[in-house]
Amino acid sequence: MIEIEGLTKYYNRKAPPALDKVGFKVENGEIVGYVGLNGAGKTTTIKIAAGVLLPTSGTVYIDGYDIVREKAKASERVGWLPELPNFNLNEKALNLMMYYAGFHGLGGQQAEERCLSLLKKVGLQGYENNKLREYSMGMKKRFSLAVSMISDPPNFLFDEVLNGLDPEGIRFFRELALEFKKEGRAVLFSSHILSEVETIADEIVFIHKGRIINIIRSEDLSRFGGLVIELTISNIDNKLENILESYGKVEVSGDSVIIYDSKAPAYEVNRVLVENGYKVSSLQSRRMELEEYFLKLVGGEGDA
Amino acid sequence: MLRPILYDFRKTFLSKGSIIVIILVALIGFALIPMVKTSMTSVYVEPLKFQGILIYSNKSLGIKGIIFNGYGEPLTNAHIYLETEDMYTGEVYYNTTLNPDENGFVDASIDISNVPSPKDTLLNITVSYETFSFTTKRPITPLSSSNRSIDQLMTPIEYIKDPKNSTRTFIRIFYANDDGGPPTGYKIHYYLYKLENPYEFEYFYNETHVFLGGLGDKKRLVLKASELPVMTTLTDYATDLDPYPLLKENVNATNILLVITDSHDNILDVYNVDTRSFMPFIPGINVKDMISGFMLGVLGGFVPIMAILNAYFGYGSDRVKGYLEMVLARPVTRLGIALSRYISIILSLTVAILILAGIMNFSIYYTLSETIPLDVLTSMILAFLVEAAALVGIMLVLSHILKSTGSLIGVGISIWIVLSFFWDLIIFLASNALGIQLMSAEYHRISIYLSYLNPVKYSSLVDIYRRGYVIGASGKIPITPAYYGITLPTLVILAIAWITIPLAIFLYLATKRD
Repeated sequence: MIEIEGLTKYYNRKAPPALDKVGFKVENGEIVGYVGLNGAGKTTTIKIAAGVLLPTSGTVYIDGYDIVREKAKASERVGWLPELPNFNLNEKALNLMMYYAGFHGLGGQQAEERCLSLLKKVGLQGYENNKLREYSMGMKKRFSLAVSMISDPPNFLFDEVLNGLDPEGIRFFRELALEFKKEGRAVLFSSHILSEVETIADEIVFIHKGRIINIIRSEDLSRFGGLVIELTISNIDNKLENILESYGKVEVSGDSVIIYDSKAPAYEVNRVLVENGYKVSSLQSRRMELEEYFLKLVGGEGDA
Repeated sequence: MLRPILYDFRKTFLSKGSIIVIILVALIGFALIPMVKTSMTSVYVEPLKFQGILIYSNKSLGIKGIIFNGYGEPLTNAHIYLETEDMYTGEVYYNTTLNPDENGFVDASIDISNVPSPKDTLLNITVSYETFSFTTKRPITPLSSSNRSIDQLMTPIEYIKDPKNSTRTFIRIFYANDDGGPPTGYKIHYYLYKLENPYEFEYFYNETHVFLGGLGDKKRLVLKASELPVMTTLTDYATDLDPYPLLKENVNATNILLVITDSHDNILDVYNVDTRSFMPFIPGINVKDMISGFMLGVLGGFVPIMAILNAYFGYGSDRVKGYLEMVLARPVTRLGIALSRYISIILSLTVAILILAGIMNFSIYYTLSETIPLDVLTSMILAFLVEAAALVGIMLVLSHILKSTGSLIGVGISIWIVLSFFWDLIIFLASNALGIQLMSAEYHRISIYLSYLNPVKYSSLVDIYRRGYVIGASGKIPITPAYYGITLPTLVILAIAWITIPLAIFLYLATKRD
């Protein structure tokens, strides 16, 4: 289980915080999607959870171990897959992995066997003695995965791991996350592309400018979002927006009108419009898409 | 943690920068073997020598001579400038410049018939070759002590080095007949003897006998020249003599008496030659001094850059490039990683310094058949390790301040250059600013005090403590180190400070800052 508590991180005291009292948890056997625009604070959160960065305040507990105060124990129980794995490219994969294995108390034959089996598991068999500079981005991510699995941790941090991967790679990592979930592991899966996580996540945490702006459970996803009413009105005038404002957020473009998060059903809106003399030629209502909702949350700043 | 430390040690030790420096220093160590060997056997070979005679007559003054170098080789591009002048007024009556022939021989005649007062006239002879020259002045009339119509210019006995073996010394005799022609029937007799009491030594001779005194028990030896063994017969102006066959006849001899006789066995000249002139040159080198100078010069110059490169490849580069993040994600504390990297870098430097010291030791053994004294070896290695640890600490601190590998290695190399090569300039400027005279005791004091601020100078301070002198413009200047604040406690405290302060700052940054 990954518990993030009151996490605040300042890179520069003169600038706003990269994270501002961020808190949520990832239960065992659960995938939590961590969604936000670029620069929202996803990677900072994950790096702190991986023990790579220090929080300014707050902390992350990995299976109850404080990543700051009990770093070794906490790190033993969490695997980290960075967006852009950064290794010394002049090293051979197996050598570097055995070096990392040394920190996990593995050495000699035992370390070699463990590393070879993990490299095989992630599809890098036959490339063990290649230098990392010869690896493609996908291979580096698989190598990074193998490294994160050295201690067979019960918790995983996937940071924008699908970026830059081909469809086969994307499928591999998605299925892997689901497999981890099935095995009862906790997976925090960050992405700035909502569609990448909404199909696998049990919960989605939205972060924007360092703050958690919403958390949605998977069971809420099906009935997610507010009512959206789309209308076509031929005689739009200045008063229309004033009339509809009380029902929700209104967008007018030409003869099209959209009411987001409508507080009244479509027929009620239609009735009011007709009573006010408007000619409604079409009317359609639907539930808001998750992505649409996210954009609405962040004020239309991104393309998530 | 041991395995990662060993891995980091291997990685640091085998990094390109580290290997290049080790190979470079090793090559320099080996390259210095012939230099040390040369310094051990080196002799001073005089660049320019001249032997000659003056042949007097009423109307002219003849000069015959030979110009050669310390190997006895003729210097055909030399010049000889002759000038007659009034010794009181300095008025020059005549001057000319001559060049020797292909054998280095000079033969000239100066007209002195117009000289108003020959007794008051000097002949100035200046022999020059490139930047070397010397001048001798002689009256143009025979010296009163001479009973011959010729007179020797300079000494007839010169020492020259065997061109094939510079440790061997030959004798060159330049001699002429009374008429100035090549010697005919002249012989050189010799007598080997051991001088017991140099203070009572004396010799004199008449036409047929030589009298030697001071050979012990106040006895005087009378030698008849014609009965002395003949070393050689002179047939040309210049004759080279090999004294070594004679020396074998009496290994205890301290002197050789050379007696030159004419064809009637009359003694012309007697020369006493010290046999030490022919001994191979054995320099009074203090091995400790030489070694520590050797090690300081070579290792001391490279240890700082080795430390900087090791710190860069062992930590700085990984830190700046972000490679350490993957290590930080392992089950290890930040302190653990920082210490493991620090230990592996120091370990790597220790091994490198030991290897290089071993190479130096081999070089010394090969050259002198002696090994580096243990106290020298230990103190110098420890001093270098202190220097290395200090610079490693500084580099590790910089790794947390600078953001690019280029700036990190650039600043590191700049630190090396400033601390190693510009420090004397800093001392010079500081002394100037304080109005302290160069190379005064105060200057040395300032220099030593400023050395406390420079980790690269730590080994120099240890060296001053151990040897008790500083190097001044004129060479070694003995000092009492304690008088300048250099004591064992201060050196220990300084070492602790240089090791711990940068390390503490580094550990703080590594554990408390991202």
